[in-house]
Amino acid sequence: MSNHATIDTILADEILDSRGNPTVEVTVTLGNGITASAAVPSGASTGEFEAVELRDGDPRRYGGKGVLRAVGHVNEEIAWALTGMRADDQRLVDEKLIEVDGSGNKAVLGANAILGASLACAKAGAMESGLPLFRYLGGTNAHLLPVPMFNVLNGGKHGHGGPDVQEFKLVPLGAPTFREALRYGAETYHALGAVLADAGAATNVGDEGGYVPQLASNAEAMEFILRAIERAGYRPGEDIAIGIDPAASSFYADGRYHLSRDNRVLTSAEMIAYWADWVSRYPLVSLEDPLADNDWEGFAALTRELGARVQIVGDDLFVTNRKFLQRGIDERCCNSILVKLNQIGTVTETLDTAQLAFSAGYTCLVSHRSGETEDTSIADLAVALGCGQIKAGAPARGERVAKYNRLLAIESMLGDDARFAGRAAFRQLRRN
Amino acid sequence: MAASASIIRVMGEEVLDSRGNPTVQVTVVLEDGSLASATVPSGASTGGAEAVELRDGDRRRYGGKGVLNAVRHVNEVIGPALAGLLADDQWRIDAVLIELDGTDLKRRLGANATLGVSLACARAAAQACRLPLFRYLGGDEAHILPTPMLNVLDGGIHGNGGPDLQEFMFVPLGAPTFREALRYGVESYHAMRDLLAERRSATHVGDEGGFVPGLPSNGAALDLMMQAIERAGYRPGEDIALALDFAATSLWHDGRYRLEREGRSLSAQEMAGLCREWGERYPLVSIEDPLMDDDWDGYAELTRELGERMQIAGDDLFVSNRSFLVKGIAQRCCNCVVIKPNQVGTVTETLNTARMALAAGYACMVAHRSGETEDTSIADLAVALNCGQLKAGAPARGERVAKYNRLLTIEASLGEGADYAGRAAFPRTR
Repeated sequence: MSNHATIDTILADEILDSRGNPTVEVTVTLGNGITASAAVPSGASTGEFEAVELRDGDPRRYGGKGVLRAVGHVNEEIAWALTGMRADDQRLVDEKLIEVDGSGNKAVLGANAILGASLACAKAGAMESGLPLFRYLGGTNAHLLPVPMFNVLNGGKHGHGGPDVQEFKLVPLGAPTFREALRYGAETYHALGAVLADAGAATNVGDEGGYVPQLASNAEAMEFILRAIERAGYRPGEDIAIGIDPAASSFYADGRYHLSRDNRVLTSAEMIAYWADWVSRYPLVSLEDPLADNDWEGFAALTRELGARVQIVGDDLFVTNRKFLQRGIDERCCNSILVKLNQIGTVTETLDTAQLAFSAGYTCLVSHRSGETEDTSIADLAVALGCGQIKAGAPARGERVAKYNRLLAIESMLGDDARFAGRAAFRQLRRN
Repeated sequence: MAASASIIRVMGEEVLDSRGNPTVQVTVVLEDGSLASATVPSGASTGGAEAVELRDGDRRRYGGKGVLNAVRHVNEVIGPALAGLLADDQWRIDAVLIELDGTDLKRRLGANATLGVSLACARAAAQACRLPLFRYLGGDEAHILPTPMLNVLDGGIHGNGGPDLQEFMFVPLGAPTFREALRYGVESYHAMRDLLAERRSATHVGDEGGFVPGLPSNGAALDLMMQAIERAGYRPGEDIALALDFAATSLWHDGRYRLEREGRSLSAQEMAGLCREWGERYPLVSIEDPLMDDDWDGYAELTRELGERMQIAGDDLFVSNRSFLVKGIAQRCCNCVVIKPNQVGTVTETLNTARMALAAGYACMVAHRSGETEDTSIADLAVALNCGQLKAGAPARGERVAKYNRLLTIEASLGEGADYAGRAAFPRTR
């Protein structure tokens, strides 16, 4: 590679995310005129150890949620540091960002400022190489389309009034292609809407596009989903399996799990038994954050008991951080990790964490946040990693659908080279 | 302009819209390497005389809503016909589309196919000319940032369980810039969410991002809007005004307008009375579709009565169509036209309708549909027309926010040259 263009300008702006909260957009321009932009997502259910999203705290603007300081950091400190560097030196760019921040958790410049710059550089580098982002990040072997996990029923923090479990997801692992998987999912999502409407429940949607019905119990949500799968003409388990994200930290208090919908308070051991019961009753293939993020012992016990049968994903536990993942590997907690770019703050660190997970035999599930934008980088990331799994919300709301549409485009682009991950994405199913 | 580039490829694809329904995406490639895509929106509340959105009707795919036929028309019929044409000859491109289709409402090819192609050509040509889309479409004068009309409460068929009226909007006409207008709107939108949460009302959203509270009356919804504005620290009327979309055709039952929430039915005259009463009680600057879409006499009367005090916008009445607008102008129905490119199906026809409206002293309000995508063309269109009004839903849901974010970018790129329409967009309420 010769005569690669260097970074000429880096410019940030405050734009809005899908909840109407300010977020950072960064545009990188190279010396040869190539420009690329990236917009940063934002989580509502944030793990305690995530990289810091910098908010202004000025109550006169957006109730304190403005990001003008982060924007300022991009336009000044980050622009000064990166101007003149090669955009395709992603590792050096990200190291420089970490060095300028200097805090360890990106609290000085803000992970939103840093990730925006890191991603925009990656996109500019891809454009300059004439490669789509997934090929640029993942190399020539990037050809595996992920199984989409559609969050169709919301509860917890994302959907006030619904079940305790935060996400119920359709996992169309029996489809032959991504395009068909998307169709399975969309048809079942609409069938769920019809099933809920028949039951007199509202069909307005939560932050991630899922419905948020008032339900008598968490199991009832499961029953609705199974009914919807059948109503859409699919076979539960064969065509479409189910994943759940209880986000258990959100109902953990005083050492107990408080399931308000079920009117029960459980110990860690009882919570594990609860999930074991669900795994035997339902076609569950993925269980995310089933315990609280400081219950490491519980996670180890749960993984011992269920890890051979179901994917156990650590999100709040690992926060996409190598350090926490290493502890999880050492203590045998979970067998899968949720990968979110903005939990850690740079492209390089995200890829490094995924690398560590793969080498330890963990699967990776690439994920959106509840506050998203039209940025589709995570779709490319999932294909780049070849990890075979992505969760990007319901097949509704533009910011979610954009990711799935991007995967349609990638699948078309790859033509005969494209492979859909399907059942093989779930290692535990392969063993059975 | 340098030698303009000709079209070498036109490719259609089935993608999903914001409701998870299939829609058409078209990518156009020019000989100079310019490449651009456009994605078509889809309405739930569609006027009877709209251009036809072609759906497959094959129940085995997407419950009959697939668009593979429209996609095939793009790839097999339209693509070959446009190959070799200059991309910047938009008028000619659209004429070819209309001729190929050969029906009055794009029934044969589908307006989703023709609009996708028409828009993608405009984008590709803008790129070849190195102009942003709004400048390419609107020329050197395009510099007015529209006043956003932000949908905060969804009802009718867009919001299951909500008020009878379809849309309740904040209009931040007192802000100094678009960027500030958006902030006014967002803060008030979030204040509305907090108000609803305190009342233990759900804060989930409808198709266009508005909240869908169960309220005893439509007036109660307006009262809540006023409270939200004040809670966010703004002055109703001065900083933020209100607008409504009645979508009255869907309220029409047995010869009267049924307000189910309020347990009453109104005649056309009583509807006009209700509008007048609300106009006195609330800072209402715009009412859309307050009557049935075939009640031309009713509209003429309503416009006589209220047209000097507020904007009366016709959407289902005109369906962005020139011939209906000609009739409306002749009979003096409404004083504003809602402009939706997919109601007519090409860029040229959309611009023609808007130009005719502006020439007749009508205002134009560029609008989204309830099924949208990340395509932001309507933001550029509003600036291109200098018409000063855009309604693109709540400041929530990515497909809505994308349009507002695009306007932030346009405003920043215009720098000192940008003007925010603000109050001037609503001359009738001054």
